[in-house]
Amino acid sequence: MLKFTGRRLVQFIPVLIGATIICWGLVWALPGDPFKGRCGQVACSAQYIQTMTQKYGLDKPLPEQYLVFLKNVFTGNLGQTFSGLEISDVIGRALPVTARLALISIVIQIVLSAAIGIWSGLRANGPFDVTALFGSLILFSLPIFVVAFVAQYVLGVQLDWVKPTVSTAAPTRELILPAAVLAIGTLATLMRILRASVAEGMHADYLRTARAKGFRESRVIGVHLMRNVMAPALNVLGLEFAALLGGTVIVEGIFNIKGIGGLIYRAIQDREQLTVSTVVTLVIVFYLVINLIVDIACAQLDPRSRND
Amino acid sequence: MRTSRLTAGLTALVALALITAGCSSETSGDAPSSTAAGGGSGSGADSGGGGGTLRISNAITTDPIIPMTVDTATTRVMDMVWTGLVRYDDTLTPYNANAESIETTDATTFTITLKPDYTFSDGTPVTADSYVDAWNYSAYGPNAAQSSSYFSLIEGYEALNPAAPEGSDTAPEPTATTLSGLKKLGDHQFSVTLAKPMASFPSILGYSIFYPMPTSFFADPEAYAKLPVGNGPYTMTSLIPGQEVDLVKTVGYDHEDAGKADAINFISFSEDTAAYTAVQGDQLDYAPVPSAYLPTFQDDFPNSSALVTGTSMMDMQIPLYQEKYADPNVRIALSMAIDRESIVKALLPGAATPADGWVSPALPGYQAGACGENCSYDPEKAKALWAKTSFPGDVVITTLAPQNTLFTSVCQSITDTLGVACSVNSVADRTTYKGIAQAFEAPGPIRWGWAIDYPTMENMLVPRFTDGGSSNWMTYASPEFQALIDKANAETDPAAAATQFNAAQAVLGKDMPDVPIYFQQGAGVWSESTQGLVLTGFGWPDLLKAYKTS
Repeated sequence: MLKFTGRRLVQFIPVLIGATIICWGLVWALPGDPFKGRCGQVACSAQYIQTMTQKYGLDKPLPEQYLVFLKNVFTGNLGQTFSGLEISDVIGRALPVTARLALISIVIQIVLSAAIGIWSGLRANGPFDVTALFGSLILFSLPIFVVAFVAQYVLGVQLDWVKPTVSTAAPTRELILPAAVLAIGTLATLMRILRASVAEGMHADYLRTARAKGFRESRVIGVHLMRNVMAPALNVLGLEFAALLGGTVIVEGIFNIKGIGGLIYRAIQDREQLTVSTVVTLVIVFYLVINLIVDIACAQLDPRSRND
Repeated sequence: MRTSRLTAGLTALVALALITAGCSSETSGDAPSSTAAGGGSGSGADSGGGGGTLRISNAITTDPIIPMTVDTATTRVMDMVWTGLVRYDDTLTPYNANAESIETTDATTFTITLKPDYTFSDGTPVTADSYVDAWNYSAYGPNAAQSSSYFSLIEGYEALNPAAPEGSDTAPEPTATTLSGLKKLGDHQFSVTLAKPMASFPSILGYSIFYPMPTSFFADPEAYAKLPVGNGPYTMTSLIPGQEVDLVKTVGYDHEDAGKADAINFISFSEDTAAYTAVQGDQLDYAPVPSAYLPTFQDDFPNSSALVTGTSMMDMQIPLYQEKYADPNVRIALSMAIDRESIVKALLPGAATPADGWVSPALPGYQAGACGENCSYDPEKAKALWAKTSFPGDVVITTLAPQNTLFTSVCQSITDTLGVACSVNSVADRTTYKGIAQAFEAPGPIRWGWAIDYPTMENMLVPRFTDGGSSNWMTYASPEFQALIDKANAETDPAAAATQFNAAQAVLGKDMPDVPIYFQQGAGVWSESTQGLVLTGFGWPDLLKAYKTS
């Protein structure tokens, strides 16, 4: 297990370097000078453009700029945005909000999909299962921004149960509605995956064996069945959690959440190469780490998937 | 025991999530202080006047909120935190604020005398130096102030911003650090000599780029920008860049432009629709109306909404540097082919009026039909003109994504009238779009809205249409137009100046370097508990008059 983890950690390095190079190149390839358009509707003075270009080192050759970026990341100094803010501060403000939003959303997904999915699987083709199937199809086909708008208007404006938008401090209670909206898309997928594996597992040999051994039904389902059902759902959950940490531009916009999604969006618009690369690097690290954790967890669940 | 390993895997996943979320506790040091109502109860400390806390939607950027920054939303915050030499009343007429008097005999040299009893909220007095130093700082090239190019009005700007020599793209070091046109005459008096006569100069001094700066700024600009200090009716108490700015009434601010509300919180919304919904949910006190809600906002807010004649417009700059568009008949035909009336009615019902020139109806001196008949829809004449030209290929209009629908309709109108193929090249982001205009690479007409910086006719004409103007991406240069502008600028009598500006517009109508489309109206909605709110021609409320009843 340790050897497996170590090997995976070493693999991170080329992935990260490759990804940052691609990201760096893409932002750099976007047309338009980042400084020319920074003076509202009038032209910036030539001196302004020159000073800013030198200050942020954009006059240096691209490989050199990239190496400076790498050096900065490793020394923990992330540099400044074009507005003169520390990038670490900017990320430090946005990431906790996004992380809490993602976490709440994942909890909602786990609770609901486990309850509904497993119940449907145990009573496959029963009335509950059929209703759940229809429900999940409807959820799956709803565009997320429509759900977001309707939920915001009905719950926030008409019924006045929640605040329609999230305030700057983003307290957890205000994040519940957007997190629930974000959960909807994956919820349907998770439910179906769980239902399918439970329904399939119910007829599997190992379950018959377990029952024949005389285990209590709760143990048969709770341990023997669940171990085999968990792996695929865990993979989906892991990917979803990483995706949520990468930010969600549309839902953040609708609920005015100041998170990672909007940060990347604006940084790309403003050609803030450093900010984009730093945040993207961070998101990739999340993906890799979460992926690793999921793989380790799956290996624990299913010895067959251990490859070392 | 096997189950414990399964839970171990799951706990690891949850633990990671908690760790990432846990970071928040360390970085929450800059969370809004308790003075921020940030979606809270909304009513601030009651100071007997019952002024309350106004929560205003305002898309501030992350740029520092200092006079060197040029950004409409930032300006709106500065207008509360600072008091400039002049302020604008609700009809956009300037009145002296921090200035006792602004005098000139020749429209070139202005003697500005300050009222002696103004102080910054850190207690330091506002003196002539506060203005002179701030303007010199902004104008000095290497300081990289966004507002720098505006100071080219003042004599001596070139010495602070030498141009790069031919064949090089590196500009030499400036030969001076101060504008030769700025002279301190006393503690509360200084004079400004302009590079060229400009009678409307006193009217532009209410623009935030001309605000004074305290000594603490020059000592350490970066530290100062963390919580800027001004000399205005409100004082900043907390600033989260790009997210929220909280202000409270300045203690002891005893001038006619004092505010009524106890506190103002500017909250940034990335989407106008979210802000509008927040006002509906009583989480916010003012929001502009997003275009999707224009047809219905008066039903949603029957007693707390307004629509005013605004001062921004939508137009298309035509690239005169493209061979295809060099013939004025082509440009005039395009202008006459556009059915502005129907387009505005269909897409912006009640929120815009077809443009009949380049100066907004909200400005003093506006004259209806200043452009002449070339800005009105006349399919017959357009066809006849088009027949005289030899226009190759088709028309490609470059636009920014939000205006896709509008320019698709403009295209349709052109095709319907002239039979020429027309398509919209939609650009998703600002930087790319500005890049196309500023590199002079527009294949055809390019959408270029204009919002005034300060309420003068000069501001709607000079930056866009004079040769070398700061927003002239057409390469338009007309000696005839320039001569009329110069005359208007030198004219001290406002009515006579307006006549000249309107004559200059007639020249634009003849040359048609830019096709006006519509004048934008300003529309806003506010909460039931907000009183005294008036929308001005800036399409923005006069926040000094508004207050909350709890």
